[in-house]
Amino acid sequence: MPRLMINGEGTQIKANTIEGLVLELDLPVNKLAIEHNLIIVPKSLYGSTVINDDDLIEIVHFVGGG
Amino acid sequence: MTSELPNGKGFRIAGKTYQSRLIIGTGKYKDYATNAAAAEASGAEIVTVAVRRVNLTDPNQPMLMDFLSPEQFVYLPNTAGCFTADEAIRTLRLAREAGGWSLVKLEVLSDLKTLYPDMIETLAALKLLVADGFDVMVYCTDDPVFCRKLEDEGAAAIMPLGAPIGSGLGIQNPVNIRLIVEQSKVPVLVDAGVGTASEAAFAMELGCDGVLMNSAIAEAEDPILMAKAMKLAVEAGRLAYVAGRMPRRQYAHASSPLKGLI
Repeated sequence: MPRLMINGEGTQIKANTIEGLVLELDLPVNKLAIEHNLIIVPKSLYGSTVINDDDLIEIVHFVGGG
Repeated sequence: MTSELPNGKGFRIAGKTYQSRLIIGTGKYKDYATNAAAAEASGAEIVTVAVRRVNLTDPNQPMLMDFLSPEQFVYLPNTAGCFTADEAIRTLRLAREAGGWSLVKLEVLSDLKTLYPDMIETLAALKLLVADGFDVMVYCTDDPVFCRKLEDEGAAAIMPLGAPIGSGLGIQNPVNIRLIVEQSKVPVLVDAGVGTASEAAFAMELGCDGVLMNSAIAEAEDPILMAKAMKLAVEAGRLAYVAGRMPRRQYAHASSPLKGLI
């Protein structure tokens, strides 16, 4: 049960990989990008990227902008 | 300009041809449905988009991609809100991962009051992005010297501001825009400052390859109607530029013949 920061908010999750996180949060994988400790995680590496306590995760997508 | 195609229609950015010379933003609309209708009415093929955190507390919020399909519109991720080269590069790398596209809009801002581009940071970011394989359309000042440096560093398009972002003040420095158009071998688009259709036409009459706007459409009382007006204005301005305007004269010059006057 890693305790970590996701999008600037402290939280606790059950998953211990990025793939597990995506499933746990029910995120649309093909519409977003994920950064793990300031490194972008390619979708092919979601399953093998392990999440630990105090990790920093950013999950972003496209929104309206000029 | 090398971007000019023989029939006066369409232009090329980073190797791809576009028929519409109007690029529109997707911010400030009351909802994505209005945004999508305006995009349709504008005839734009490229839309700018921002990269932001996913709202994890309310994942069922409407998503841009559900209204403006990346299959229909070329997404041009921007770096709005970035004030350093590092922030901009980080944002665009995430955008490339999210969408898989390498065409991006770089803007590195200086301060919130003017949203004026910080050209030192912009140039630094451009070099790194080009080295990283991005095709970079660069929001910039209307300084011809800096615009030349951007082109030398591999910018895919030069996009000087007509006036501050969201100001709707129109083209404040047509002399400089014209100089930038004349010297550039890559497309030049006025990005920011256009407030109404005549100003978009004016930008095109200066010889710009295109116009990028957001607020002028999004903040219009009827955004969909204004989108249509901007489509026509950009087309009209382009045609007028290609047609070549008549010379200016100090005095009248009769259109009807004087010979045969009764």
